[in-house]
Amino acid sequence: MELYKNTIFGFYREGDSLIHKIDPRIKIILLIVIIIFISFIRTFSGIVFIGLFLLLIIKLSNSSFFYILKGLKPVLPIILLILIFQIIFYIGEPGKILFQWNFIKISVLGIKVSCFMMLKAILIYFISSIFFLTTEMISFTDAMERLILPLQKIKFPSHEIVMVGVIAFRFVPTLVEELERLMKAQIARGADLDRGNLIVKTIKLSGLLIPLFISAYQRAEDLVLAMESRCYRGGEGRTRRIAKKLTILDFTSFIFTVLFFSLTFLTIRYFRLL
Amino acid sequence: MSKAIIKVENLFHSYMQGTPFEKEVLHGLSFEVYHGEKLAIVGPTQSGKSTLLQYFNAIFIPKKGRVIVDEQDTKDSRLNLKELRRKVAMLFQHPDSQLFKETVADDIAFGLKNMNFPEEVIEITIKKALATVSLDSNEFFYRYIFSLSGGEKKKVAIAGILALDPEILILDDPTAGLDPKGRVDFLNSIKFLHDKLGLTTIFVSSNMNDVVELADRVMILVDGKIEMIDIPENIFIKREKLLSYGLTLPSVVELVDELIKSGINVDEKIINIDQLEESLFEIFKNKNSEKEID
Repeated sequence: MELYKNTIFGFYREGDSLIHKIDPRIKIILLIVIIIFISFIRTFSGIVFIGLFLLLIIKLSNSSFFYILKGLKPVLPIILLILIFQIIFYIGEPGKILFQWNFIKISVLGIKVSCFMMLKAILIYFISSIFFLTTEMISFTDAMERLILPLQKIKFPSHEIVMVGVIAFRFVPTLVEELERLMKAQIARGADLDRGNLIVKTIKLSGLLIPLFISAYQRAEDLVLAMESRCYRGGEGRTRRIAKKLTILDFTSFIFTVLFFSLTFLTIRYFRLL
Repeated sequence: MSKAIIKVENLFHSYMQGTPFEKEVLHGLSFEVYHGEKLAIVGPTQSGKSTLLQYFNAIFIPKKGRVIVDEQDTKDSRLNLKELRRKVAMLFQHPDSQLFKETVADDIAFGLKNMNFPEEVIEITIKKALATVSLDSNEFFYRYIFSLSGGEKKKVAIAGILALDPEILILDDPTAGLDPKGRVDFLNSIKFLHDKLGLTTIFVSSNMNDVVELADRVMILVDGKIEMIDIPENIFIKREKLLSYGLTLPSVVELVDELIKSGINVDEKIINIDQLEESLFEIFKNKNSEKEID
């Protein structure tokens, strides 16, 4: 019966690596670039190239490959399910057909394309994991805000949207902590929340929801007071405590990544590898 | 001393077990709590006090070490957890997290219903419990929880656990957030309940004055290790040590030190106000009689 202290919120792990040091704005842009690139790959050699690139980044960020791989475990069933569906319902040029029954056709091409999609999804998972492992939530949201700030010119409430996001993230651990306290208080008076089958458990958990919501509203009210008492009135004219400036590292990493991907792209095109 | 009601043997506790973030917070504690005593657990923040408390009513089950409550190992899978939690009642630090029903009666009934008390007994038991904490049941029975004051909430929370007829009372920083009068009332009612119901009481406190007033024995817990466990007189004589752990001294002890500094020769072992009054009275009586001889 211990939720709060046994849960990791977000993925961030403190560190002092090169990847940690890159400015989050650059990291976000690079993340988007890499994801776009990954979705454009059409050959297995491209996957291998990007795989190698990711291994390099993992090495540079001092994270463990297996730790990230472990995070894939909970979503594995979904990935496999998607894979199976894709293979079964593949509609494309029918290549060599291995098996056919009514409308279900399993072709070699279908298997190939589906595996390909899965590999791409895993690559995207990896690169985003590395991103969140090395970027604090605060600097991430801060960078997001600065990236979408120009949109304010067309009346897009970028500051407000980011603020709402920050508060939502901030509330997750608070709610978990509150939930844990409520559960313990009920268990201490003989409620057995930790026993029974799924349906019984769900019914018992519903008894926690009302007090949890009440306390969440109280917290939100306190938060509003705290923000107002410190003169918060939206994003206009707010300055930053830590003004980040781009460093040589940021430019180097940016140029390196872009060069790497362009070269990969060209090489694959040129040699027509697989 | 009488026999042990809780035995803790070589108890360890870690958070985030099996991850790179694992952190051990209790490092092999062993001690006993005797039947009918009032044990205070004192320590700086992050010393593992609240964690330790949750082992007594099996909210935590030891992964390493043993906790034996009333001759039953909490690790034992045949153990009736409900019965154990009825026996070992816990008052949480914030009454708000303990009270989760709408009305006072509903909240007190929560525990009773879980413990399968028969319907017709419940109402009488609630009224009795309210009377024990000196709340008028006519006034409070149907009151909404959110309309209560802080002190009243605390009392209702205690009524909620006393209704279950416990044998061991566990209090997590019970006087935090009470005003001075509320604190005195609270301590008196705990003392009264303890004596009347013959309970064993274990409490965590950050207020040393509570410790002096209530405790028969004191445990000093620092960084998940027991530094001292002894009667209060022997604990508070080691003033430097306590201060070095980041703890404060009871007001009476501070007063005694000041008196000694200004030349009034009181016994430095004194920890409570009645003893101090008596010994000051003695000293002044002697002085007066010396003057008369002059």
